[in-house]
Formats: sequence, structure tokens, C-alpha cells
Amino acid sequence: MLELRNINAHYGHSQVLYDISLDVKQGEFVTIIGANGAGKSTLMKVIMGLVPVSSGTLLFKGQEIGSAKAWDRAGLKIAYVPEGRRVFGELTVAENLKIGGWNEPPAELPRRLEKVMAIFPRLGERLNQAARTMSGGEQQMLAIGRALMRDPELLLVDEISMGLMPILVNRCFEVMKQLNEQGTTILLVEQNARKALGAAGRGYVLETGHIVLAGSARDLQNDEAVKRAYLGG
Amino acid sequence: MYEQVVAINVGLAMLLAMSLNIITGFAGQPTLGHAAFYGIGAYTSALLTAKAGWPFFLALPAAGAMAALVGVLLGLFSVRVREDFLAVTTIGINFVVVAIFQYVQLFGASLGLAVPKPEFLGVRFGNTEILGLLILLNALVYLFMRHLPNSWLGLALGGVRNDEEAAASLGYNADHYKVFAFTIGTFIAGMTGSVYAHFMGFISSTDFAFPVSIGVLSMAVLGGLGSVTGPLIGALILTLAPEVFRFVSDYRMLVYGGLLVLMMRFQPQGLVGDDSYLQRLWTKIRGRREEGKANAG
Repeated sequence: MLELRNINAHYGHSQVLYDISLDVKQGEFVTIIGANGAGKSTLMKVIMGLVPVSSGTLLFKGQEIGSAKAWDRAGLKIAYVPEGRRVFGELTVAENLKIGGWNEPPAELPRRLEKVMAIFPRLGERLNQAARTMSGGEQQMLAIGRALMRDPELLLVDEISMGLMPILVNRCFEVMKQLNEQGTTILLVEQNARKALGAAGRGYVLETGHIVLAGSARDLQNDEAVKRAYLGG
Repeated sequence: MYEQVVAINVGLAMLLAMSLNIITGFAGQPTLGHAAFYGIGAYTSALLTAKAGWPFFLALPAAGAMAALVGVLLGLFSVRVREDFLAVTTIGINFVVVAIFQYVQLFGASLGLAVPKPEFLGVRFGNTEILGLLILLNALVYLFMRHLPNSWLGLALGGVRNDEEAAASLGYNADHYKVFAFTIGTFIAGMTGSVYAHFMGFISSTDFAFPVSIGVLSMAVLGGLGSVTGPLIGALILTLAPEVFRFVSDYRMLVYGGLLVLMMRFQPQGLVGDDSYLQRLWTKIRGRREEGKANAG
């Protein structure tokens, strides 16, 4: 479904991603783990078109999308939950969700809204509240909900656990697993390697802009180097 | 009549404040040179009617279009620079535009331009007709503003203002919306300038100088940037204040500057913006009244 071949990316003159190749197949739950500053978020932004590709091929369903702008890529049924949630603080929960359904068939929106509220009943209770007045966990739910309004085939999630209480982290992971079981392909970038490998089927390890290891989540969990570097033992 | 003239000034100020609100309030793009577009509209309309013999009702939209043309250019520029640079650039545009009016012979240079009173279907426009036109224009712009927050366009502008990158990832082309806001906002300012020129009968470059821009910004900030009714209330207060209190007129810039500082410090959402003291008070009173009604019934 998603295929990256020898992707390089820069911020100005400094190279952040080196020769990244990875693929995500339909229906998979794939995670990319790595330390702070490894280039995980940049990789997400490259896939979303928020950071330009310097060289390499970026394919979605066999179609080259590397040169398409971010706003053109969103029409491709790829949705993105950005790091740090990035909800529209001044807008209400309802408006945040509505914004997510931009360019989608209007007749579909009520059904999708109901689906989002079924997954996160809390959002339904707070529809008219400004997003900035909600807790971090609620904002994370809103960020996921906003992405789901697009009814994505591929969901990109950047650091879902950041700044959340453990109980909410668990809830978010449950939701992702549930979505995956219902057919949404998920690519999750995560610092919390233990949680991420627990949920995903396959994983990649990203270190200073290079993919250094790839394999099934189970193999990675048992890999000595991964254990030492990311699983604390 | 004195009241009529004051009402006309309020009407002009309201249009300017609403038009600035589209750019700065809804799209989040700081503009400190809004009077430039007001002036471009005024001079365009003055030249078209006085020198080219156009009827006022053609010159009015043409004035808006000319201002919007420069507005589009500024909008295209705005997508390439950070907000602080944009603020400085808009100040620069204001000074350049005023200097052109001041020194170019076509614009009457320092002598200014005489503007003919408009005529429509044989009726010569006095203050009453001008006021009627302003009420109509205000109503139209107000309806647009009221509808805006609930429309896709309003949501898109809100998204872009709040978080451009997140909005882009959701499929919003932030650049388009910024340029669009500049186009609409400067178009309205240009039309307002046209009405001003024909109301005054005479214009000169200082009518559109930097302090006028700050005045308009103060109105929008006082009422509440990004709120629908805020700019109207700000325009009303700041236009009436110098009429009621003479000293405000003498120390206009001091009052504007002081207001901007105080509002930013204590009430950045404006007098009637979302979650302002007044709005919360109003919600409370209304809640109580409804409670009272419920108890009585």
C-alpha cells in the first residue's frame, strides 16, 4: 500500500533521512521506533508531504506521490495524527471534527461523526467546547477522531503516547488495534517501543536517519540490541 | 446634520474594521497598513469619476477591485514570509502608498483631489443617500461575516490560523485561503474608500496615513479579532469616543496605543470575543433569566 524506496530528506542543508526504504502492506499495523531526534516525525511529514522528498520514490497504492503537495495527498485516503496532537484550539470539538471531513462526500459525514463518537464517547459530550480547554488525553482523542473523519485507508500516527497518562496511552493503543482489525492500515511512529511493538505486527528501527533494523514485532522484541537500546533491558 | 455625519463615520469605520477582521481575525495575518487599501479605493474612485467621467456606481466596485488587486499581491507575498515580516511589510506598503499619493501629479500631489458628488437616476447623493448606501454595504458585509464561521471557508480559515501544518495535512491549501482573505478584505476596504471619497468631496494623502491603519486595528482588537460582532462594537466605540470626549480626539494616538497594550495584556480576545468577560457575563445573565423563567413556569 505504501512503499518508500531510497528516500532522502533535508531540512535546509542538513540531511535528516538517509536512504529510507520501507513498505506497509494493506491491513498491516507497522511501527517505526527510535529515539528522540532519529527522524521519525520527519519521516511522517515526508509521507504527508509536509517535508519535501530530496530524492527517492514514494508510492501509495502504486502511484508516485512524492512530488504532490500535502493538501493534494490528503485526498488519497491517507490521514495523519500529528505529534503533539495539534488540534485547532480556538475551534470547538465539532468544528475540529468537521474540518477533518473536508472534501469528503457530505452525505457520509454524519455517519462518520457517529462512528468517531462511538469510539470516543467523551468527544460527543464536549462537541461545543473549545478544543484548547480539553485535557491532553481528550485532545489526543480529538486528533485521532479528526483523522478518522477522512475514513482513511492508511492512518499515520506520530507519537500517540507523548504526554499522556498510562491509562490513556492504553486506551489509544486499544483504539488503534481495533481500527486495524476493522481494516485500517496503520503506520505508527513511537518512542514507547514496548507499547508499539506490543501492538504492531512489524517494525522498523530508525537511528539518526537510517533504518538499522527491520522485522516482525516479535523478532524485534527479542532482539538483544533493541532490548538494550529501547526496551530498557 | 451632525448626527448624520457621525453615523456616516461610524459606518465607514465598521466596514474597515470588518474588512481588517477577515484578514487579521479570521485568517490570522497581521496587517498594519490597512489604510493603504482604503486610500487606493478612494483615489481610484476619485480619478475614475472626476477625470474619466465614470458613474459612481461603476467606480465603486472598480475601487474595490483596484484595492483587491494590490491585496492579492500582498497576499501572495504573505505566504512566503513569517508573520512578523508581514507586519513590517504592511507598514511599509502604507507609507509607500501615501507617498505616491503625496508626490505624483496624477493624484493631485499635496493639493489632494476634488471628488464629485455621486448621482444615481437623477438623484444627487447627499449625506442621507450616502448613509443609506453605507447601511446597505454594512448589512451585506455583516451577513457575509455571520455566515463565514459556519461555512467550509470559515472552518478552513480557522484551521489555517490555528495550525497551518495540521490544516495542510487535512487537505487545506493554506496559501489559497490567505490570499483569499487578503482579496476579500482589501476589496471591502477599497469600496469603503470610494464611499469615503464621495462623501467628503475632497481627499488628500494624509486621510490614509499610518495612524488611520492603527485606528482600524484598534477597533478590531478592542471589539475582538475573529469575532463577528466585535469589530462593529470597536468601530462604534472608537468613532463615538472623540465626539463625546474631546480630549480623546486630541490624544487619539495615545488612546489607540494605550488600548492596544491594555487589550493585549488583559483581554486579548476583545470586549465581545469568545470567552471575554462580557460574553461570560452575558451567558450567566441569560442562564439566570432562563432559570427564572423555568421556575416561574
